[in-house]
Amino acid sequence: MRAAIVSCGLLLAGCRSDIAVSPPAEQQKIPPQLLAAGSFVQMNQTNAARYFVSGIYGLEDNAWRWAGRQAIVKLRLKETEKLKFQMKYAVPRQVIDRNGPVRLRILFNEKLWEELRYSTDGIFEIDKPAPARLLKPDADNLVTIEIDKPLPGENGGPEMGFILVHVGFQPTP
Amino acid sequence: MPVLAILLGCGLTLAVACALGRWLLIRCQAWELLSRGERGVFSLGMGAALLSNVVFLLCAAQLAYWPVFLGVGAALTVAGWWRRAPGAPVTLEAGGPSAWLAAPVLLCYGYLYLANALAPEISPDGAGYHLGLVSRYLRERGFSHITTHLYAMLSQGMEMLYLYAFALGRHSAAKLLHFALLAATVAAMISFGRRFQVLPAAATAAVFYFCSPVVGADGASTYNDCALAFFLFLTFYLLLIWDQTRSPALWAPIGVAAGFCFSIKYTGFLALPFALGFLAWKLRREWLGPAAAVTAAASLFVIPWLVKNAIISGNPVAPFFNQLFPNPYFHVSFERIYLFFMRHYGGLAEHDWREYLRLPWEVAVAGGALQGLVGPLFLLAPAGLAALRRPLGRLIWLAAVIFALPWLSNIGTRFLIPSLVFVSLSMAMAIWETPRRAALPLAILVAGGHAVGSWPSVIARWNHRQPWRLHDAPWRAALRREPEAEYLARTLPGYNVAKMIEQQVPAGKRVFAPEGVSEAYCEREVVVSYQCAECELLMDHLLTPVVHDFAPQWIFRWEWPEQELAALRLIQTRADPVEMWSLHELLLFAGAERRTPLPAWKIRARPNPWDGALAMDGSPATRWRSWQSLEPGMRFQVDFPALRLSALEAQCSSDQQQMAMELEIRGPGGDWKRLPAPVKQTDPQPPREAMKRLAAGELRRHGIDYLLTDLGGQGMNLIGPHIAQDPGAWGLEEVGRYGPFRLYAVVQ
Repeated sequence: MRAAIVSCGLLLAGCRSDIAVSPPAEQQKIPPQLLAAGSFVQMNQTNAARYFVSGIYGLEDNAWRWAGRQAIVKLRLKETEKLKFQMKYAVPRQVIDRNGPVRLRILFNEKLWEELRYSTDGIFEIDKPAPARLLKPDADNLVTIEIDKPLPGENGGPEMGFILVHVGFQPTP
Repeated sequence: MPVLAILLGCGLTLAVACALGRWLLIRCQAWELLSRGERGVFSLGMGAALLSNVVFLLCAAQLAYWPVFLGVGAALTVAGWWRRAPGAPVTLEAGGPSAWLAAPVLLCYGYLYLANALAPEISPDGAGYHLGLVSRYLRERGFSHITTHLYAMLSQGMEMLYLYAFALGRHSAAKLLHFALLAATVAAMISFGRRFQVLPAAATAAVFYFCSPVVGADGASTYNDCALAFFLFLTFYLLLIWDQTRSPALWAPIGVAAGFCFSIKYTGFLALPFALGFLAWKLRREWLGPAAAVTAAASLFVIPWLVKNAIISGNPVAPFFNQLFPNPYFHVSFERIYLFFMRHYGGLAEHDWREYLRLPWEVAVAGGALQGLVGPLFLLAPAGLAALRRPLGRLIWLAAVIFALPWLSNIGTRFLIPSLVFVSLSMAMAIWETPRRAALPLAILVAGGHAVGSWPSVIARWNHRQPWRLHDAPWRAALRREPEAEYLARTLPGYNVAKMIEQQVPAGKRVFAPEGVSEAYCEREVVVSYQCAECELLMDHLLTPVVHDFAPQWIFRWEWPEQELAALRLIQTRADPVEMWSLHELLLFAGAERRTPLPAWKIRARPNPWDGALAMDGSPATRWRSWQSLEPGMRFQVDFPALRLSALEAQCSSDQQQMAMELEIRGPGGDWKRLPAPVKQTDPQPPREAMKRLAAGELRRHGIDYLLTDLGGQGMNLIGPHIAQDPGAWGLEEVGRYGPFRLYAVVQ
């Protein structure tokens, strides 16, 4: 009897080895209001677009993105004290070659925090304490990065200002 | 009035069983071979087995109504008693004065157990699933297609008898029935002693067994271990009578008893090979005919449960052996975890096998870790080896060892109850092997010491480990002078939770809970997180937003020159005994454009093909899991009508450190082509807030409308505080609370 049971089982198992299912007719939708962003974004992270408000374009070399005249990202902060602002970016040679020295402005929630001038191209990093007074706790904070003289868009394309690798706030150790 | 109904429910069940058993024993001509006492216990045993099958058939036919039970019972009783009993009973040794010394002890304990058996059911498993399922069968008029309750898949021979008693006398009638079988075991031991001229030893053994604290707690509730012990002993007893008489008339009763052991509990399966082995040993080459007769009789009690399981789940021995019988209702991983916990109660010997050296002490004296104690007397069990000097003693020890084997798979003390009958006999035989002048005082001293030391108020003085045991004789509750609801509210915390559920949850709605509730007192279906594949899946969804490693944080990306493809498959290449493979979401791309999965696509996963769609449903809260340990060759394949693709992104959780994947793609009509290793990225911030709402939404998609959590609970209840913090974030609304329990309605 046991042999019969095992045989039946094997038959059943055999019959079921090629079971195929289909994807659901409708994909689950995540309500946009529930897509809370984090405090830091790498340009190559899969959900990076969730952080972008405007002015940041497609991923290049799986590492960086072009930004236009004005790039805005939305970063969620639980607290505003003891944070440092980090940004890795590049001022491209084409921009300097065409326009000469450029000015870069960084604004937190539309209030100016830092203004930088570049007369040479290169890759740069900012790693400085962030001003709590310009930030909002437990809320989305807008970080705006502006360049005064971007490259004009080619063939009706968007302006190209600078290159972003990562941007955001990290807790001070 | 309730007491009368209880007595009526249990009494009628016993009466029908005795009548049916009498009919069977007369019919197969075994009646003439038995003494008066044996006729009583074997009638009860055989008839109980037959009645259980009758109730099974009524449940299968959706005829589980109390009037049907009453009518069928009356007809069977009349039919059973209609036939005149042929021949006078066999005369056996009269009970000597030494045997009568056991009577006062047995009566005292009988008084204690009877009060507990009559009182409302408060034992964890009895008020949980044993009577929970019985109550459900009665509500649903029989078996329904239950695939969300692992205990509904176990053989339930005793539950069928409980159902008969419950239909007439509710919970306590079923309890009383189990106690009756415990009492019948004592009667069977005394009869056994008389037949095989070991009456003083048998009477002493009856005291050893009957007074054991775990036996009392089990036998006075709706568990099934004492019933299993009774039927295993009947099997053994019948085999020895057959050996004495060599009458073929006993083949069928042996088969009935052995088969019903499986029907009571899977671990009772050993009775049949034991019986067949015994026959083979005694008959050698002439074994086949008797073995076939015994097997045929036994299969009447084995096959119904296997067939029921095969029909419902596709696995005749569900919820076990799921690797051999793959099915969508129970996971292979569940078995591994379940068996692990059953071997390591309370974490015993989880990390150091030497902790198992504590087992004799735990089983006999402490009892806290293994949920019950047999009594310190049984530390002297090795002394019973002295019984090996006699052939009967050797057989008793053989049975003791074989029927103790299931304990190796579940080290709870009560799993030793079937073997305890035989260990008691061997110990008592060893005592009565000493010279008569010493034997009687020794027996009185040992049995008296055991009886006094095992009395609830005495145990409380020397054991502070809170093992599962009886505490007093609750006669006020037993006689319903204290109303049942008051007693239950006072002694069973789960009762109040069950009543809260009944108040807040409309009939027909289902509740999901991390841990079980007192199902026997709850008329709503409560789906428990570990009791089925679907349950584990829902629990996994709820844990995903909360447990760091469960969320989709790893992204594996493969890229290739855009081309037309017909299929792709991921192959897992590593092995690990603990980790499982999982895929939260597979995203397909043609350049930057994501291809939305279509119903025309086919997903083939191995193992666990049933949940494949969870990896392509767009939800980060759900994931396909292998639900068994990592093995090379596990695969996840997607077939589609020719589609231009250039990349695949697999979003995975990080609770699979050993996992490694390879991707193979196939063009229309082409061969599989393996791609280079993927680029692995980490998403440090998966959308946990969104996942909460999506996870709770999965409850609704699975027909669950309510969620019960215990803020003070352990295990999967870890979800409780997270939800209590902000139920709205999950799409839940609190609708009831009792102590640390919170009941939420799914409102999204």
